[in-house]
Amino acid sequence: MRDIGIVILNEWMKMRHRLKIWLVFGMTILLAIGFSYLSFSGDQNKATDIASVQKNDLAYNTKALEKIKKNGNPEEIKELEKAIKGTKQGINTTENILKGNWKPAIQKQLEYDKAELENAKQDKKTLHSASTSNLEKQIAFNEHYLKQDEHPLLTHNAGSFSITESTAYSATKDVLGLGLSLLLPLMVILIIADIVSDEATRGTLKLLLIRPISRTKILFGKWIVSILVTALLAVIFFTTVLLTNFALYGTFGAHAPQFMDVSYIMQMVEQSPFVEPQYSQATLVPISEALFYGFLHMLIASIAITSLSFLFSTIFASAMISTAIPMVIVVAGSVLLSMSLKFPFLRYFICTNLSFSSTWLESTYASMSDFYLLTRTNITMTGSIMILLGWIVVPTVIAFIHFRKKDILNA
Amino acid sequence: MEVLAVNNLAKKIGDKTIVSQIQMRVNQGEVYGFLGPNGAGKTTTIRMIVGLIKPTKGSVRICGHDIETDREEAMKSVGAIVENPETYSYLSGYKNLIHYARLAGIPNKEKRIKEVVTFVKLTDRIHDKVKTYSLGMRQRLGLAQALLGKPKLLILDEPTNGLDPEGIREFRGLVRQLADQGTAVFVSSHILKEMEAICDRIAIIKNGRIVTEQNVAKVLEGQGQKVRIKVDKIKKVEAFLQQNEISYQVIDHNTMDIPIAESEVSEFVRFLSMHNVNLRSIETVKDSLEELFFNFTADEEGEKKNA
Repeated sequence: MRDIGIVILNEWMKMRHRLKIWLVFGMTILLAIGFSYLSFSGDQNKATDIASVQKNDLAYNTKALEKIKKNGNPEEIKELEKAIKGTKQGINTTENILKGNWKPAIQKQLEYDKAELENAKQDKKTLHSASTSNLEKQIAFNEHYLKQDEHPLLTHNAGSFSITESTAYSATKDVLGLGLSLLLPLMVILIIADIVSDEATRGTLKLLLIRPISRTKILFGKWIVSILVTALLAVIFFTTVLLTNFALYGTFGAHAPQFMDVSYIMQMVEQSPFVEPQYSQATLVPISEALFYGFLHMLIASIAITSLSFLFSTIFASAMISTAIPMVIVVAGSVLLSMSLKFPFLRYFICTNLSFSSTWLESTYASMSDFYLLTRTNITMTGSIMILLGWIVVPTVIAFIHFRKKDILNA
Repeated sequence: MEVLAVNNLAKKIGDKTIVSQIQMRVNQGEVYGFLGPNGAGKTTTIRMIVGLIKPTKGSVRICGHDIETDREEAMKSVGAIVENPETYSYLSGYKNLIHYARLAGIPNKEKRIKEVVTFVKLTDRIHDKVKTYSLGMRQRLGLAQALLGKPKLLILDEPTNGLDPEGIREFRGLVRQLADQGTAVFVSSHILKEMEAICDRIAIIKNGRIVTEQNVAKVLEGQGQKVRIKVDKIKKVEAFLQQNEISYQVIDHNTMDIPIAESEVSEFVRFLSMHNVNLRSIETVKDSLEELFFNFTADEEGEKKNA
């Protein structure tokens, strides 16, 4: 144990005396702030006062109804009338929430929505549809607010997407979702992927390994330092994003509802596919809690990247090669994931599990590629963590077995 | 006391035999030279001795501890420079030594570091980053890290690489001093002169095998002494030597080697002047190991040609 402590002390001394780690930390902080700010300003452009959105909707639908009332399709007329009724109900709720009179308003909205859902489920045409899914979601959200006894965030559901009032928490979720698949893994690789190979390149490895401490212990010390530094980097990234978003949005909104582990089922509705979120089987938690799980997940995902980089670092004697290979894997992986590939086994791929956005946290993005739907979205957080644990254990074990026996020929 | 015992050591990588049948014993207080041309297998052998490469066959014991089964105990007695002593250039010399002292489990690190730094004369620059060091200073830092654990066996692989003549002289002094204190020193080199100057015994390695092992003092003694003279009338001297059945060797038109002892030199000079032979220069020549080395390597070449 003492030996490993010594190796850890040494490795940290070597790491902190190199510029690289500080550059990476600095870059991570800057990028975290930059991304948060970009997402915030994008949000500002998108965000409209919900009350006015609802009013516009009403005006638009009323006008459309006038147009087709005389000789239009009766079904379309019925549809529009229903929409107008829903919007009116929404406006009523919004007004009441704004007046501070939210509880009875939400209760009323709930009753209305539940009745609507009941109707929608009777009709074969609307049984599997975006509007039915949205109703389910809205009911769940409003029940959540009542249970939490907390002021609801103004949520407007129309058509196939929803605008939710952004908070520091939801923005953090979005920014992390973007940063986790590429930015953070690359930063981890930059720090870790040469932890052994750099010594081989410099030629210091041979003088390191002729000490009265076994190779396994030396490698174990390096491994622990790699994990600690990775954890530190993940904490820095997460904290910077969260604090920046607190500064931009304020701290309000920790109680807002967030679905976790939403699975999707492909439904055929009138010959066209509809991907239906299964809200009834998902978990609904306050978003602050979801972010805590998100942090755990990103920590484990980063450690998986660390383990993979660590393996290449023990295999290759060139720091450049051992850094390039995991980088190529991560970059190529993210390209691969943006294509519409339908290989179910891709869900076990490390890159699939790097970002929690659109995997186990319900996607914030309206359009999802087929690939997401078929391979990513049905991974639960627990499932994803299990896969990542595999990506931690297997490369680490190989690295240790390989390094213990390896002949140090040139380093 | 036997500090290093290498038994029938061999390394094969793929089908290629790098070294084989390496047999060596190094005792306490002895400077042992491991001599051979580049590529003969010196570094591979050293890497097997310090456990960086696993031998295909044979064993290495350091102070009785087997390097494979009892590696940690064995390495407690070893300090080594393997090839170029690359240290962490982004750390100061002092931090490098702290790093190695921790790994060696040295009690009272600071005191010991001060001692070795004084010994290798690096005190002034020890807190500077290694990247600002000259090659000679890096060699000395390399030696310092090897000495930290007061090793019973000191392994130095091509230690004078990059040293200037003054540095080499100083280095020889350090090695002698360590051997006199009881350290077994194992030095590898491809430079004969160097080995002759510091080693007690020398093994010569060629194409992965030890071709001979010699006691340096005995070699020099056994070969006796020669005098090299430069004269104007070489024929006259030759005639005289032939008369007296003294063997000689003509080097060129006015230079020759004569095997006479130092005690007979003055008499010989008097004899020359009596016979009107002008002596231009005279020096005693010790037949160096170079000849020995050459003989062995030449033999091998010859064998190859015959085969």
